[in-house]
Amino acid sequence: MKAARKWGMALALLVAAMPVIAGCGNNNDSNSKASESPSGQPAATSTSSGEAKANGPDISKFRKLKVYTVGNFPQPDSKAVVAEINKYLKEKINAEIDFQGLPWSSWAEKMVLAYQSGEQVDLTFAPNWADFANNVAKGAFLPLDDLLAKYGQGITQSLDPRFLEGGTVDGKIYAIPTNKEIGESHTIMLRKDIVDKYGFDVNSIQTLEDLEPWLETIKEKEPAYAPIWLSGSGSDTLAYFDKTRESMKENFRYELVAGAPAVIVLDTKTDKMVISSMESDTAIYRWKLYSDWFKKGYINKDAATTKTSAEDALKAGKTWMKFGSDKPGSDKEDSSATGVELVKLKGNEPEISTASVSNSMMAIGRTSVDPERTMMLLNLLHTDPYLVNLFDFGVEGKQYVKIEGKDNFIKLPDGVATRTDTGWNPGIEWMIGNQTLTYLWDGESADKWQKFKEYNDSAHKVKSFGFNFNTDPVKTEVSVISNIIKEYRPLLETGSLDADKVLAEYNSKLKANGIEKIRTEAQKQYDEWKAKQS
Amino acid sequence: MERTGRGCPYNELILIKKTRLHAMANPSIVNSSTKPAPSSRQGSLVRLMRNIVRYRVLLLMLLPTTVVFFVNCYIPMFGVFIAFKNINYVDGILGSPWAGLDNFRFLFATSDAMRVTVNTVGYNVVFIITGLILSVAIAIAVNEVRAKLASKFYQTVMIMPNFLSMVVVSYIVYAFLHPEYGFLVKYVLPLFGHSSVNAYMHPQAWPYILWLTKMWHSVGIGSIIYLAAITGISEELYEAAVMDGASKWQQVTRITLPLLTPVMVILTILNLGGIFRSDFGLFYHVTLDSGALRSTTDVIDTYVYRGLIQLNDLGMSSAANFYQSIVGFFLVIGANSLARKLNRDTALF
Repeated sequence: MKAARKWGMALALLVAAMPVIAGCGNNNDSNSKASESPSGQPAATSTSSGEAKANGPDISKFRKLKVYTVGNFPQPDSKAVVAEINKYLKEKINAEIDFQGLPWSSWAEKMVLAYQSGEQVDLTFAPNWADFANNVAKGAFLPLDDLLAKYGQGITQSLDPRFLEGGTVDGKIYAIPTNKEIGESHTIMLRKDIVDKYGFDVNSIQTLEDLEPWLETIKEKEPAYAPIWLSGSGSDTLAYFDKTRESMKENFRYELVAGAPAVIVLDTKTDKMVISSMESDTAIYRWKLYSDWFKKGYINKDAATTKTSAEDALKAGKTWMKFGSDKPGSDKEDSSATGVELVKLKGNEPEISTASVSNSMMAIGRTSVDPERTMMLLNLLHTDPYLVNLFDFGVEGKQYVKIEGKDNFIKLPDGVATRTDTGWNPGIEWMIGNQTLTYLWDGESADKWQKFKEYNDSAHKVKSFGFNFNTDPVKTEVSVISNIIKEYRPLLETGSLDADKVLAEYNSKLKANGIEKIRTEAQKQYDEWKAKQS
Repeated sequence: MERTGRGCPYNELILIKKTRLHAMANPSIVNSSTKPAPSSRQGSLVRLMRNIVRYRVLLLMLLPTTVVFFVNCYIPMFGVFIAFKNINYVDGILGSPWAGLDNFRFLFATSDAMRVTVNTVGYNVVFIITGLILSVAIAIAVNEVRAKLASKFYQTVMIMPNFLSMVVVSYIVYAFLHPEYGFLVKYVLPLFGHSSVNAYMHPQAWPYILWLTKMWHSVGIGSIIYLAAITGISEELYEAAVMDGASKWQQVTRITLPLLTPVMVILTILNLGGIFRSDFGLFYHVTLDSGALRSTTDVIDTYVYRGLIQLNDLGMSSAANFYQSIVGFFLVIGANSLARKLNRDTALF
């Protein structure tokens, strides 16, 4: 009797709360429908923009746009820089930004929450490696084709059209890539003082194997340095600098598949999806080389588990090398970023892939208060040098000063030792709009952007360019396989255990957990995609 | 990843239980309200009102907890059906299409399902049993320390680790086990003639390392409740026992332990509810997420985390959480009815 009454109470409370809960749900629903309209064509937005078209874009209403990005935040001078940005934007497009610069450590999680909760998101950094395809599938971003045509002419004029494919899903553009190097290539950078000390000739290194005598020397004569620093839990793996003799024989034969688990690669020779740990000779050869190096003591002992990146290890004096991009001027950029003078090896040839053109993109959230204005802002970021430099380098005279007589060059103000000390060094040059509009730092080569252009033109375009694997039909298998990859890949990529033994175990586990199903699905999607291309 | 289910403070339940015990110990309060009841509806309503007025202070004290529970633990239950849906942001929670049991498949589709389940349950059973024994032992021992200052000192030292987050703990463990500079590797192992060992590559060592870490981290705080219960035992009982010539050991086994049994049973039942959950920090951070250690350190929470961190699928993570909660729920119910069968007074409800 008593118990029944208690339950009755509870039930009554629950019923009382129901309208609240249901209300939330309904609200969500109507919100999302209203803001989703651009994909469903007509609706309110298009009529208003139709009017706007008649007599120029309508910017009479002041807007506060919420801009999300990631970097080395927080920065001490954020307030002053953002105030300066807002002053300029108010004048230009009658808008201000609510700048949400998030630190790397919490950015990914916070964005998931922001997209899910329906918070206002106007402009957001949405690279392909941060769940882009999935977010598009779930409807987090607005399709941009119409907006781009109306308010983004500056973008379409300045951006290499190959870039736009990076933000395209099912024929619609969902994100605008940053205008920067279009291809990706990787290299290893070494401390210049050590290279000079032992008389190494950087140009003599063609493949990874060529490095061996150097590693031997470092191991013997510089015991404080790990000859090669890897971190299995991070992204510092030699896979980036895949220049073994084996891989050089058939350059560009195997391609990573965007969106697919890392073990699935495309064999361009046969146009078949293959499983790298079973069928790719070059990958297997590379892993054996690492495990050989690990045994010889060329690789830091805690490589499989350390969270210290090679860059941090270099700064801490634990190694003499780091990995880096081989884009033009990257050794100069990284020298100034790390405070250690570096020289780079000849990297592998640049490659344009779905990943390389979409590794830095900006999208407009479905919850944007004003997609038109946001596109105008994005357009400015691609065309307005003043604004871009304000975002990237801060306020002139405070964070940097121009070098007299050299138009495009800047340097640190007197008495400031590093960029970190200026109060604004978020490291977001490669995310904001058009990187080729940024000033050059003292010491960089004057023809940097010219070289960028050459670099972009010379890049090899991968065969699967534009293809994105949709994991949805096999998401159960993908989540299972992800676990297995995370178990074995750090061991293989750092050579920490005997490669033969690990590979045997790895492969049998992959087979037992449905890797074939993923491969079949990937092959099917790829074939369908290819049929549509021609 | 969602971890809402976890935040619910089970300990609050103990308070409720204690209030009930208190009421039982003072039959006068209870009896006065259970006069032969008029069986009509109106009668029971009147009685309810009368009880509310009579116990208004107690009810008022209960109110904040009830509100917290309702907001934090009951309202989110509304989201349970996310586990059965294919969520997308446009259609929202209510509008997204149903997925049936698809979201649950990944929990069982792996050849490692057995491994993670056995690890999760195995570690938890060992933690619960040894944690219980050690906590009670420490509580009794600390209680016997007569010097006030020393007693406080021991308590503080033992409770301190609990305030360190597992990430910090992971670095302490790392300081011992680092393959080159670790304390154990550099100073202790050479004494036994061993050369450098990378513990993070040897799964067989980890059940011991994790157990040690977990006990160090949690036993001190676990002993607090027992210490409180021991303090509540009447001194007269011990005085009487001493008169009868009971030794210290006999006092412990004949008086302290029997009187602690209800608390031990309650805490154990509550712990069983979490048997399908594990201390994520312990199994993920302390092991440095080392792939080579999976065979002995992979548990349901880490498996779910690693599987979904890239997919970022709301439905699947809810499914995992739902599965853990349901199993925990039935274990609590089962353990409670078992406890009631053995001894009615020790059961939780």
